[in-house]
Amino acid sequence: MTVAGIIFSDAHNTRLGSLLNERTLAAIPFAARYRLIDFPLSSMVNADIRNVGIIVKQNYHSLMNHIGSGAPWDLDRKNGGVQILPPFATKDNTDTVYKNRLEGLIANRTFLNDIKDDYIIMTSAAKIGSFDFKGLLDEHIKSGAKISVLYSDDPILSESSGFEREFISCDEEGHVTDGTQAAEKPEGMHYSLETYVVSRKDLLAIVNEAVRENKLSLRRDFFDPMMARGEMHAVKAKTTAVIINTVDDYLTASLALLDAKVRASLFKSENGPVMTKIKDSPPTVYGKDACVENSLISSGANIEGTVKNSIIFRGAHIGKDAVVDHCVVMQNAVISEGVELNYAVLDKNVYVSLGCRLSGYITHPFTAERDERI
Amino acid sequence: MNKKECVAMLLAGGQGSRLMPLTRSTAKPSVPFGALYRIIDFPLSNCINSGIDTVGVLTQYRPQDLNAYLGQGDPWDMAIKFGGLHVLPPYMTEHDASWFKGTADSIYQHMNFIKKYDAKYVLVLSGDHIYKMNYDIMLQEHIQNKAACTIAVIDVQIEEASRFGIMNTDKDGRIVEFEEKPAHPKSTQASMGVYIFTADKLYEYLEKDAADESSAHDFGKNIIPDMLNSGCRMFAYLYKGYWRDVGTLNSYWEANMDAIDMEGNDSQKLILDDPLWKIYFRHDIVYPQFVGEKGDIKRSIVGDACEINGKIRHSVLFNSVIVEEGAEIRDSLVLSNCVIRSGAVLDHAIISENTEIGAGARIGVDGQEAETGKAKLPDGKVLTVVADGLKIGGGVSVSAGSVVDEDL
Repeated sequence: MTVAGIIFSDAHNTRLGSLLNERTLAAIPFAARYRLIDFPLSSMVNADIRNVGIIVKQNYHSLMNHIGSGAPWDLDRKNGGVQILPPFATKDNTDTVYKNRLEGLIANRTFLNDIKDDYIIMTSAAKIGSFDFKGLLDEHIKSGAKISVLYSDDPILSESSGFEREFISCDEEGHVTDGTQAAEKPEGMHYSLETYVVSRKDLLAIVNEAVRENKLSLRRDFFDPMMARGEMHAVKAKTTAVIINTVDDYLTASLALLDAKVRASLFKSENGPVMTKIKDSPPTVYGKDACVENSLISSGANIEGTVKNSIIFRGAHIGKDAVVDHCVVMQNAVISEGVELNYAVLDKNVYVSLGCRLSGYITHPFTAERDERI
Repeated sequence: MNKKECVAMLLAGGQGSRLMPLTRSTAKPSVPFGALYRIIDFPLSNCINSGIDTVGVLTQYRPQDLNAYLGQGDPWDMAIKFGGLHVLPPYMTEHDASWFKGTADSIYQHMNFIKKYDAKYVLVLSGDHIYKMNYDIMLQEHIQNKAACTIAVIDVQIEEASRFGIMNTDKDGRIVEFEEKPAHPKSTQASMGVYIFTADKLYEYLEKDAADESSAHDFGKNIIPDMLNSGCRMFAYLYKGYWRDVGTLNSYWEANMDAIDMEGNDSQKLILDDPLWKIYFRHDIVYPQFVGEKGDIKRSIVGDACEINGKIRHSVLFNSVIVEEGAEIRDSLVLSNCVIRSGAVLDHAIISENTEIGAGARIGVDGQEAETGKAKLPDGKVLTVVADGLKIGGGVSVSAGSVVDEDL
């Protein structure tokens, strides 16, 4: 019984603003030293999955750079390993950017045919955690259902974002009875983590049928009818789930890492560690006037000022007399002397010059795009 | 691509008895250093940064941990098809079997490794020095001088010179005399334990040395004096930059501290954050460090996955160290996976891996004034060392200058 993994690197209709300027969603930096892809990829590797395809649509250069040969996840294998599956032109079709997941799967029928695994776990880089994919498969097989979906009742996200999420409801035996999209959680329903387990045979049947009958939507044309026939089973995630669709989700999820329980659930889970690309960063340097509390700090950061309730990435530099509170400061960002920052998300290489004072709010963080100088 | 211009041989077999108890379960080159690294990362990173991608690591003393750390050399980009990193242990033949009898003998036994790559030059390194050096500059000098051997030297204080092997040179830098730990040094050019040999000359003198039963088979004692006495062209290469021998607990502590304060000139500070000369290392799979509400860290360097709620001053914390509320760590090194319980105080201490210091324990705080006969650190204090895998009970006081190697 073997399983292959498919990760959808893009989420459609997100509100992630400049975080997606030069990268696909899966490559968004998260938690001081990771990118979102590290979480589903590690969950898969920790479940002994040795074949992973990452379906990407656009802006995937930073993701390719991050994944490389797959060595950090032990996925640089002779048999299997990790593959990035980008859109490609064919003699019949040059308009190749996928409009949805079904098109992504159709385009990668060869991948689905070539791998010989019995099951497929499909997941999204927008819904992450340190999940027990082995347990998910076991429950799926036990249920006898055609497809199973992972859900959570209390994922980490920004509740006031007004963003439409996916919900499901299920009966006591775990049959999914209904699915919907809504901005607020409907009573009695659960957040779908859009993580599915299905046999490869059944997934290929779906893909072939979609091509044959020109079907366009995975949800409308396949999942909804399966639900109606009682063929979809729901499995509850036992560890923390994080949903990132919007910039305020991103800041909410980042700040949630300051909670020891969330960190334990993500980083010290029984399901195994989260692995990421190796950078050979030097140790974190705390200067003689550094003052740091309640913060997650990566190696390679250099702190001379004050940091509170924040997430500081590799190579970030916090200058003397600067005060950073409730912020995410990404890789190699420079916060000059005397700067004051509140509720800000600063992307890679952002430079904030002397004495700037910038302030956002939890639901509307101040954001600076990659390489911006302020 | 069937030969290498220069192959490095790294002497990593020494016992490191002066670093006890840090070397009680591992070889000296794999002793952790600078929050994230091990000592051997420095010569290996220097090699790859200098364009040398083929290194034989000669191991003998407690090699398991070191071998696991080296693996196939991938952290140093040496997992390559032609060349790369190779662990070279002592071995048996159809005639006999023996341990390495000395540094020269270890390379003699593995001469075939060098010959396999048809190397013209051989770089010989030790596994107990912390420095960042471009060996290629030294190699170019060696080639220009048409030398048989070039020895890297560093300028030391005249009062310290009698602790080193001293090279006396003529005006062209050619070595005219070599004195091991001279009582009355004639120069301040101390050998760094970094040699480049022209391979044919090295083979010649290793063969000769191997045939000499009275020899100690040591580079410093036998090969170098022998080559010098035979009139070989030997040159000193003056290296200017940071270099420390970390063969003793005091010098090991000092070198770690050199990575904290970025004051003084380039030969006094160890710059780890150097994009142009990265020090590569094998990573633990860890997560970022977390500084809690009660954390207070100044003048320190810290590794990954630490959870800090205590007060840290002028210290080095390695990976996965937990410091509870009210604990205080001053001028100390705390190696990986240690737990410092609430209210414990560490002063000028080295706590080796996997050790737990109980609540309210005092390590190196009491008895700093007493005369222990221990060598003093530059700030006049003495070092207290707790070995790996121990449990020091709550409230226990370990007086300054002690070396603890069992539970207290």
